[in-house]
Amino acid sequence: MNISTIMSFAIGAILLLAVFSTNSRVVLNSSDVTIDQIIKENINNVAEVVSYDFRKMGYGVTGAAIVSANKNEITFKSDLGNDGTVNLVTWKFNPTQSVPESVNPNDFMLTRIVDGVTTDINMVVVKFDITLLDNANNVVLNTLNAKKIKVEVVCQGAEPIDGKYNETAWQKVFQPWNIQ
Amino acid sequence: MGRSLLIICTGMIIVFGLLEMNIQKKQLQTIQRSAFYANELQARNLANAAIDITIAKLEADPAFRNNSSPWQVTLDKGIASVLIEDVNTDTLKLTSQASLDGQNTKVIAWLKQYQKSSIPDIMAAFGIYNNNFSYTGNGTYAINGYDNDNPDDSTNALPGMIVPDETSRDVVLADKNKDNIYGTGGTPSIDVNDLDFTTYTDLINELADNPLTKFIPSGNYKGTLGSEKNPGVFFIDSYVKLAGGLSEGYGIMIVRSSGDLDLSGALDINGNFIFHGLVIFEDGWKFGGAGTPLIDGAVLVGSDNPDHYIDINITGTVDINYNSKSVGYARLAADRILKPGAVFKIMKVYE
Repeated sequence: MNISTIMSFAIGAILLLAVFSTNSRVVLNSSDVTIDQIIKENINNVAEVVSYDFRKMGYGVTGAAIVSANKNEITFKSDLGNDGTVNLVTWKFNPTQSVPESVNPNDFMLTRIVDGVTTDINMVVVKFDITLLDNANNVVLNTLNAKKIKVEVVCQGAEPIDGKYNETAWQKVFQPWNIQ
Repeated sequence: MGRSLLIICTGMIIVFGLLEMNIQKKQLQTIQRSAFYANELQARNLANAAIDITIAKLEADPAFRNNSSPWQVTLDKGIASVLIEDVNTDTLKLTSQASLDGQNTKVIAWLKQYQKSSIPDIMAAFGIYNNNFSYTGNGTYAINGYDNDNPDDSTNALPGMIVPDETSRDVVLADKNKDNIYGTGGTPSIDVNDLDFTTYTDLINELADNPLTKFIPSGNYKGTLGSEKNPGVFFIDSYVKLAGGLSEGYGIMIVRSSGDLDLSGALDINGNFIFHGLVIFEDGWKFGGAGTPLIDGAVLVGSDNPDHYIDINITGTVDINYNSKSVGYARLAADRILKPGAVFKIMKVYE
């Protein structure tokens, strides 16, 4: 075996080690990114349904649109389907009811109830806060004075990475036309 | 050594290239999701902006329907189409659709149409818009803020008089016949409000420039002064004596500082003359009335120069009575000429 063959093996070995090292880092990073993407996908799905409902708040309703509201729950009326039927919509986040199928100990049950029909939103939601605001952005408790609704949602990853749960937040202030 | 090293390096480049492509692909997915969300919001904004623009278009031209076809609204980031449909005589439905990079949104808005008026809300039977004036009420005149169209219903009643400040109110209160001013708040019924005559100055100028406005020639006037169905806009800018059997007038009458309205001639003939509408005295009070003439609507006196002195001297048995129906004749007359258009308000939105 001549010297050049030995040198080639040595260089090849160094390069292979570099590749394996990079690969392991990429794999780790990749799972991190994948979980991150799943969280973003989850929060996107929650945001989409929340936006669909909240934008229509009070549509086709005579009188008060918001029936009740507190930090984790809101009930309002809206003709969601634009079919002349006013629906009663409730969004409820129960911070005491954990999700049985979830490994993450931080997420709790988020439910959407339309005319009594309940849909569980299992998107690893760890926070769902509702705040009622008036036109000057002051927090109000009386639903009749509410002109804007601030919604804050935080979702976490279902699985931990290095013992930590990645999370993504979404926040939006809705100013539905129909409650102005 | 050279060849094997070249092979190894090539292999490494390929492996690293594949890794890089995978990483980029993941980043691309993240960016695509953000772009998707941004495009959706942008499309929604487009649809809403198109509704706002359509409302502005409708306010300029309430009859605009674009031949029942969707109206294309071009904005910086894209195009939205808005279909305008009549739901009933005063309600419209706008369906706005926008598309941006594959993201389609639809917003439906219901609008209510309100007719605009050239004449601001009347605040009293007699409005004095200047604070530099003297006031003398001679004879048995009466100024009444109760709606003469329905005197038993006090819901539409106004103050007999309105002035711009407390000092002005004191000027009127100093008059010995102040108790001839009736209306809301007790007798004498004099309200104070921050009045601005410039709105009326603009109105007067617009009406004066319009060829449909009738300028009453100086001297004895024997022509008509509008009718209930066809109220008019009349300008008096020189001495005019209403005579020759005139008993009623309808619409809006503007007496400028150079004008002088004398109703005594008409009153001598008819016993009483009634003007159903709004009479505005600009820059002066030149109003002579003997007998029992009635201005059934409202009277305003003022100047766009608040320091301009006006001597208000009410003589005879002139009655100035607020009448919401008669103010309507004034609005009809002015609106026919000025065509103030309509206002559209959003009633509800589905998005």
